[in-house]
Amino acid sequence: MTRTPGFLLLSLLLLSLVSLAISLTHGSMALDVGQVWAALWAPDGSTATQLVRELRLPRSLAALTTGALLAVAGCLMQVLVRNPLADPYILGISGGASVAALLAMLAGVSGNLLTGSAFVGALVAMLLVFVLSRGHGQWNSNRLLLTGVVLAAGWGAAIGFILNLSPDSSLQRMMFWLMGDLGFARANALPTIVLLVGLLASLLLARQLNVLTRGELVAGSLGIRTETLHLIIYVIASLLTATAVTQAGSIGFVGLVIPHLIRLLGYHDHRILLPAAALLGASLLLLADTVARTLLAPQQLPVGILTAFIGVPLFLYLLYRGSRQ
Amino acid sequence: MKLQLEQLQLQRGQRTLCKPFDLSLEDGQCWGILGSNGSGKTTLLHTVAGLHHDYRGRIVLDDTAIEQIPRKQFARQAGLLLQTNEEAFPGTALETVLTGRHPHLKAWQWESEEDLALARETLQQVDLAGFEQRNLLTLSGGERRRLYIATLLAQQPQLYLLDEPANHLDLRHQHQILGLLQQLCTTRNKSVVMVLHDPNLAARYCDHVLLLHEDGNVESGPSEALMTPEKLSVLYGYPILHVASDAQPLFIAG
Repeated sequence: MTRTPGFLLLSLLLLSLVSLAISLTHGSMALDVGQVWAALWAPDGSTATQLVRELRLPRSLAALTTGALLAVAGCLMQVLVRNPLADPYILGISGGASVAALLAMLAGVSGNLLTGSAFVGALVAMLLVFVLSRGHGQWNSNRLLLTGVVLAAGWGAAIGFILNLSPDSSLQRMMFWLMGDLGFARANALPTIVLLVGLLASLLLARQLNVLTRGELVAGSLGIRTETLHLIIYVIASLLTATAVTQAGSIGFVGLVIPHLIRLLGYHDHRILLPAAALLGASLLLLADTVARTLLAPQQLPVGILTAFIGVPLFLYLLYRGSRQ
Repeated sequence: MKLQLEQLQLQRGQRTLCKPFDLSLEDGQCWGILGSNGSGKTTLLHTVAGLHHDYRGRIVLDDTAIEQIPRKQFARQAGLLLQTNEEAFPGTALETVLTGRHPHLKAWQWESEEDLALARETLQQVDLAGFEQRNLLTLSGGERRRLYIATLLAQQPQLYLLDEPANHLDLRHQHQILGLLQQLCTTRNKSVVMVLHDPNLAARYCDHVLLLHEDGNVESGPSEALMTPEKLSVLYGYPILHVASDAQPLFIAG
């Protein structure tokens, strides 16, 4: 197995581009690469141009960004709570966003106002975990994890309650939101900016993250202010998650599995792991979304179903291969 | 470098671990900390390593209280080997050793060729040459212990603080590693403070010892003066005999 980080990152970049090409050419109307190219760089008034520029491209870019956001947030959460089972939603941030979003839907709100309420819900959940897990001022991964998991269960109950109150007509839309869906996502520069800033900030901390995975005492004895570092990781991971959830609902699996896939390939250094996870997360989500909107066309499936369908066998294969080495 | 503990007092809840004591440690000295289970040896070591702040008295490194020293700078002066390590996401041996270079690198800086060479050299020093790409999970307890010691060596501090460095090591490696630490003191003028459970290892490798009694009394000084069967019997609450041997004193449980 090659361990050249440059090779890995280049391959993953290529994978994202291939995924983008597949996504832009497939759909209700099949286009060839030449048509897509023309639509992108020499737009005319044709249906192909409209299809690519107004529907497929914004949705594909949203998928790429969301996948990358979730994968990076997953890496950070796993380091923060020192638990390989952690994913971006483990501390209930998506739960808070979902409750707010469903309430907004119940009130008949849509568009930017819906997105805005989801983001506010995510921030409320984030603050709640933070305040409740502080205890006597000492940061403690276990306490943080337990507080988050219990709050997430509370949000889950609230979601069930709202679903029970809701009229049938809005249920399907709510289910799509809960399973994760990119159908609502619009072209918006903000998530991309959050992703780039978050990724850059995490990369600056990457060597500290390497040390932190070795334990808080080790990190402390190697000159790291662990309390401050925990706080920074928490804020970055939460904002990335909040942005992803706001954009596309709670898409499962990407944030949990992508970091492990990269680790199973033999890369534990966060300076490689973080960008590699971002690229792989982006590709996986884009491919899953392409399948979700074409498999049973014209019917669309929530993308969260497809991320698991693609991710589960891929992960099990790598796990099996790893255990034989 | 000079480490001074001034009227240091350690408390855990209602229990007094150490009554106020003074200690002065200079370059080239090798100290052993002895005491029974739960007497506070680890707490004392961690406190000196700057990981606990709830103590009374002062810990002074070269005329500066350790709280005043920036954490990263302090990590270049003092390094710590923990009694046990819990890795959340175990990587390779080389990746682990390289974390020891962290305090020497800037935030955005990658390990240089020199750092890599140093990491390989320290692996060699603990008999782990050729283990660079092995995952931690595939190492035995003793191999992992030596890996963590290599990580501490790669950190290149002036003051080495070690919590039971001989743990999990076979007889040969116990002596090899402790000999290596002793050599750091004698030939490179570094200082070592280590918690040990075996008085024979302390007698052989440490020129000074600190006896941490269960009642919180602290005795410290040159090994020859303190390493007597009488004092050790009191320390451990168990009769300890002295057996004359050709090369060195030998303590056995009575």
